[in-house]
Order: sequence, then C-alpha cells, then structure tokens
Amino acid sequence: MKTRQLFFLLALTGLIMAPALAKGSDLLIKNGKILTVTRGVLDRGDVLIRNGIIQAVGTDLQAPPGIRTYDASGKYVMPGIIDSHTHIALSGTNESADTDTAEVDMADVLNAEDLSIFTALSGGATTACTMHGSANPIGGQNVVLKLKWGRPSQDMVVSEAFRTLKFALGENPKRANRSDADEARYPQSRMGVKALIRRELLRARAYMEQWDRYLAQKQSKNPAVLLPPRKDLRLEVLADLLRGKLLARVHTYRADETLEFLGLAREFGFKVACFEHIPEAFKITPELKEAGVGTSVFIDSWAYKIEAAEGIALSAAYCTRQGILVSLNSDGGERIRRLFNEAGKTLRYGRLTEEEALRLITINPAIQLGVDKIVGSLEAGKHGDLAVFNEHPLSAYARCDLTVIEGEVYFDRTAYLQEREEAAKRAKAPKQTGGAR
Amino acid sequence: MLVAPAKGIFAGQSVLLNLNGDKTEAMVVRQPVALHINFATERGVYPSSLMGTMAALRQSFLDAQDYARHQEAWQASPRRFKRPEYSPFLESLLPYVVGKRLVIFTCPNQEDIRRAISLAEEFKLNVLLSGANEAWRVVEAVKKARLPLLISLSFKPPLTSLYANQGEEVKKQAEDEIYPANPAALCKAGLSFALTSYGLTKVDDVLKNTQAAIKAGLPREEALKALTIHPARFLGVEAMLGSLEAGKMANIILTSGEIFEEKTQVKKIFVDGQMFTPKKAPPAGAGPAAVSLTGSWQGKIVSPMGEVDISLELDQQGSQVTGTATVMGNKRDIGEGNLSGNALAFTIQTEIMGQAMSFSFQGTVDKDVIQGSMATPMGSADVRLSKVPQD
Repeated sequence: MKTRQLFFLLALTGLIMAPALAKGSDLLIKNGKILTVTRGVLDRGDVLIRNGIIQAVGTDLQAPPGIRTYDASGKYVMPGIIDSHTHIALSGTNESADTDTAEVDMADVLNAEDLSIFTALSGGATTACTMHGSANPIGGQNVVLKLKWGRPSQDMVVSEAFRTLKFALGENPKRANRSDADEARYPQSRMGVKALIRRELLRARAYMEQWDRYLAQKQSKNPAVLLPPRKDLRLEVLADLLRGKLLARVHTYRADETLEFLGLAREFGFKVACFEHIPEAFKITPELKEAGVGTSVFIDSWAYKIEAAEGIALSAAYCTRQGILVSLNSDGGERIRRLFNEAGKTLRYGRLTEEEALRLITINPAIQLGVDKIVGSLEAGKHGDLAVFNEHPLSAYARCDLTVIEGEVYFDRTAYLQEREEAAKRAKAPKQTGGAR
Repeated sequence: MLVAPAKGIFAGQSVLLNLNGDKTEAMVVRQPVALHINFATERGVYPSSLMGTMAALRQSFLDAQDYARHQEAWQASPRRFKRPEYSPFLESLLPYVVGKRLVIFTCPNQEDIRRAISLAEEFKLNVLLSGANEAWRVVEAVKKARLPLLISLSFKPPLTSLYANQGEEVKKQAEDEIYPANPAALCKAGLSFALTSYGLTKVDDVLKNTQAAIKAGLPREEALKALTIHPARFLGVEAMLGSLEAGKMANIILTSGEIFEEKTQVKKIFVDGQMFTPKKAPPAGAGPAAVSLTGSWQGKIVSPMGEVDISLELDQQGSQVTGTATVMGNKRDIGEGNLSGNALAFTIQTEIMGQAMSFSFQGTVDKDVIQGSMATPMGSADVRLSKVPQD
C-alpha cells in the first residue's frame, strides 16, 4: 500500500513538473545500438533530434553546443512503440445504450490524468490508438494520441492519423457473455449483428444521397428554394465511411464473420483499416491479403471465450510471412507497457527475424493508423519519438530506461527512481520536520 | 444570487434573485438568465456515457438550428414550406443556440473545461464556464477561448483528478493548498472571474474559502470584484448591480472591519434598500432537532447484485447534513445532505472508469435507525443503517 501510494505521489510529481512546450525539443542520443526498423541496425550510432524532429541518424554526429546529450553506450535505441488498439486515457469506453453509436468520438472524452499513460511510457510506448469498446455492432470514432504525460489532452491528439470508426462482431455485441438484463437488446445473434450493420449502412447511403441531391440542387443554375436536410451526426459519420473519408476498425474473432464483413465492405465500397484481435486470421490469409487488410492482434492470448478457442500463438508470425500487415495491440492499460515482450515472443513462435518482430510494434501499426510518415521508425525527418532499452528490446531481460517524444524526455528511469527514493525519505521523516509532501 | 437547476444534461434555466424578503415574485431581478448544461449522463438510456452526452449535445444544438431555419422559412413563405412540428424542447433551446443568450456549462474538471470550450467554438454559443476549479491546469486554453469564468469556491479536487485518487493525505493537501490557489493563478494570468458558492454545502465556507484563496495569493481587491462587479458584468446586469454607484440597486453590506478579515462581522445588510440585521447563528447542536444524525452509522446496502457494507460519518446542523460515506473501503464525501422532519436525503459522488457517478439516497430516520433506498446505475437498492453507540 505504501509503495503504491508513493508511486502515485511520484507520478503526480511528474505531472506537475511536466515540460511546458509549444514545439519539440533538442536531444542527442549518443553511442547506442540503433535499431532503425526500416533502415537496418547501427551497431554504434547516434540520433540527433532538433525541434522535435529527427535531424540525423548516423555515427559520430556533432551536436551544436548546449544540446542535451544522453549517453546510450551499451544500450539499444528503437523507435517509440506504437499501440494500435487500446482503451487508456479515456473517461468511459462504450456508449452501450444503443447499438449504433457512430456519432460518439473518443476525442471528446480524453482523460489526461489516466496513470496508464505514465506506465505505458515506462515500457517505451509513445503513440497509441485509443478506441471505443466492443459493446455495439457500430461503436464510436477512435483517436490516436502521443502519450505526452502531463500535457493537456488536446496536445496529445495526432491529427495526421486516419479517422476511424469501431465496429464489433461476435459475442460482445450480441451480448453472449452478459447477464440476463441485456437479453432484450437486438441483436442477439451473429446474423443479427450483420443485419443491423447493413441496415445502418443503407440508412447512411440514403442520407448521403439526400444531401447530395440537396447540394446539387443548390449549386444548379436555377436553384429551387430548399431547406437543407436535417443533419444527423450518426448518419453523417457513416456517410463519411461510405465517402471514404473514414475507415473501419473491426473487432472480430471468427474467420467466417470476418469474411462476411469484407463482403459488406465490398457491397458498400468502404475501406477497412484493420481487423482487431482476429485469432482465426491464419485461416483466411489469402482473403485478407487480397482485400489488403491487416490485423491487430495478441500473440499468445486465446481461449478466454468460446469464439477465441481456435487462436494459435503462431498466427502473427504466419500472417506476417503470408504478406499481411500485422501489428500487436494491448487492448488496455496493462499490456501496453510490455509490448516489446509480446513482440519478442514471435522470435519463439514462428521464428520471425528481429526486424520483422520490431515492425509489429512500430512501423506496422504506424501504417495502420496512417501515421507512418511521422513515426514508426528512426529516420531523418520523422518525429523524435524513441525508447532506449538496457538490452535488446526483444530480450526477456529488456527494460526501458528512457522514453522520448518529439525530443522531450517523458520517462527517465534513473531520474524517476531517484525521485522515488527521495519521496520515500520524506515520507519516513517525522511530520514535525516536514512530513509527507 | 443566480439560482440554477442542478441535475441532468440540460438542467434548465436560472433566475437572478435579490434576497430581499419572503415574497418570491418580489425577489426576481431577471428571469430566465441562462441555460445550464452539465456533462452528466442518463441511466440505462441514451446517452449513458460522457461520449454519448457530447454527441447528444451537438445533435441538440444542430436540431435547434435546423428548427429555427424551418420556422423562419415557413413564417416567411407559408405557401411554400410545410409548418414545422412544434417541439417544446427545441423551442426552449432557440434563445440560447440561435439567439446567443447565456449558456452556462458546469465544468467540474479540466477536461470538462476543454469540452465546453470546444462546444462554444463549434456552435458560437455565448458561454460562461462554471465550477472550473481546475481552470489553472488549462489556463492557456481558457485564456485563448476568452470565456468568462464562474469559479467555484469549493476546493475539493474533482473525482477524475489524480489528487483525488491517492489516498486521504494527498486529497487533503490538494484541498488545503493546491486548489485554493486556482483564483490566484487565474488572476496572475490576467483573467477576470467571479467567485461562486457552487459546490459548497455550508454557507460559512463562502467567506472561509474566499479567505483561503486570498491567502493563496489572490489580491483582496480582485476577490471583492469577483464577488460583485465581475459577476454582474458576466450576467449582463452591471447597469443595476455590482458596485456602489448612484442609480444602482441599493444592495449593500456593512461590516465591522475589512471585509475579508476573519474577525470581521456583518452588521447590516441592505437589499433593494431594505435593511436586514443578521442574527447570531445558534451554536451547533442546539435547538430542538427532531432527530440527531451526528455520529457514526453502520449498515448494509442490499441490492439484487448482493449485499455490501456501508458506514456513514454524519454531521448535522439544522437541516444541513454533511459527512462521509464508506462503501467497500472507498470513502467519499456526501453531498446535498438534507434532513426535513425525519426525511433524510443525500448523494454520494463517486467515479467509475473516469466517469463521475452519483448515488442518491432517500429515506427516513427513526431514532437510531436510517432506512431507505439508494438509486444506483444498476438499479435501486435497500439501505439500512444503525447508529454506532458512542462510549
């Protein structure tokens, strides 16, 4: 209990001391083993960040005087880890009072004070897509964040990312694992889930056509006096999906349902950014490859419910080798701080190369989230987001020592442990001479 | 005094009163003054989450604009357009969404401030931010938005705050030292604001907490303005209220000394020129209370989900009931505590998954037993408590 409280106290200190920046900072990481992910490995190299942007990755880089330098001798430097699917930093996960809630937006309910942001940083994570839950066949809009602990939430939002909408198939939306209280809610079956999504997409198509007709009339040579149709936020978002302005992220477990959803995407002409969890992905790799849709998965977590029964630990590696874009996700505040361990498992399960394994938590999720131009690898011109590990990050002994976003240090293990020690001393001191602060 | 409805997403409209006696009509200075909106949720029906509430607010504002367009078009050319169906809800939103009358968002935490600012900008609403005792944490955004602030004198850290979730010590320190510095920080940032009693349960705390804000660095001059001319200006009544000037309403208080000094006593109060003399409050516990709640209570909450222990520490002064409730090891303040005859009501504010929840109790007190029911998001539950004997 005492330790826990101390930890919280320190996290709090971090919050108060957080840097107040308008733009990125300068930083030189020296003499580390640089895992660029997209440009190979530098056995002994440097990364120079200016104004938050990587200026150079190379050897013996000279930094202008006055720039903060971090000596990474004997350490490993990799791009900041990207979590393609989590639910941290939010006030609420689902709007479960309806079955289509496309109008809700996770960006509206950010909570900059979720401690998961800080613990995620301690595991080298710098970017995360935080999503609507899987209670509804059509959930809400997701948001991509930089995990800038201590900054106001709006400063964390990555505006370059794809706009995406969460869908969910299978047991969760049909409430298979819920109490009797939910029995009345339609849909109660997999066929119902699909029918509901289809019904809503048809409504959205009609809505879109109504607006298109109105706009065409208004722009014609002799416009009739017309009132605009009612703006319906739910259908507006689904219409944007049909217009290609927004992509689907689909929570799915079974192969058959996933294929049916791809059928819906073909029928209505919308794009799927990625399938979530999908333990049966290995059964349908040709179809996924043909559709050009990647997956965001767990490594060795399955059989926690009936529809997860047929998962296998080899799936991520197998799909990768079949040419599918695979990323690993945390789905929450816990696994997000050890995604490098998850990636490491693919060396054992499926014998991926080190670079392939690192891709699963860096450039691959960056591509899926539409942020690969700015993050996901250590390359000049990208954001200065990186993590420094004491060992190779795929080693079971790896520990993250430093996490940097846009050149600014958001987690420094040494400094943090020192602060913790000092706080412990203060907490032990007799109250009359200072006491806990 | 601006009196506003408390609960619900669209809580309702407020009235500005002069506390000049016991006739309600004579008290009214302006009615209605503002539309009050809370970032609250519904139970079991849409919107049941904060994200749903945000979407529902946006949809309501859009619908009000749409309704106005239709009304206008139909009135201009009734031949061409169909008469829009009457909607009492949208009709009442019109003066605020289209007419730009004051909209007051209650913002218990920094994220709510951000949400209110974004809605104000999106729909070009004439917004005041109320509560806002975390405005110091988003001071740049508040400055940029240029929205007037009605700052609460309640210094309890909001339930979403890290300061509220790390044990009693941190929470108390935040309440005593960090949150009282909010007005001073805003003043330093060059923002003008009103100070309000919103969120306080004891009348005495208004002055006590203003003194705490002054101690934390708020200049006295600013404190005085924040309780007089600034709110008058924000509410659009500065021509008649807020300063001692010929032609304004004769609302004046006479004190024995410097107004914010601890020992200062209020000697006379004039409202609309009528003189009132404050009576000394009877000492706590005195008076013929029908029942006494002060003390420790223990019992159970019995719901379809099972039984849980609950204990209360109550402090009763007249009809006002304050204290704490402990359920499953979580100690929370009780709010809106009221004893009327033997009918007791209070709420427990808590937080689940970053979302504020309130559990309201209604019941009766019979000597040493409190009995009643509590409304929870999972349904209603029976509550029974017995007084713990004092030795």
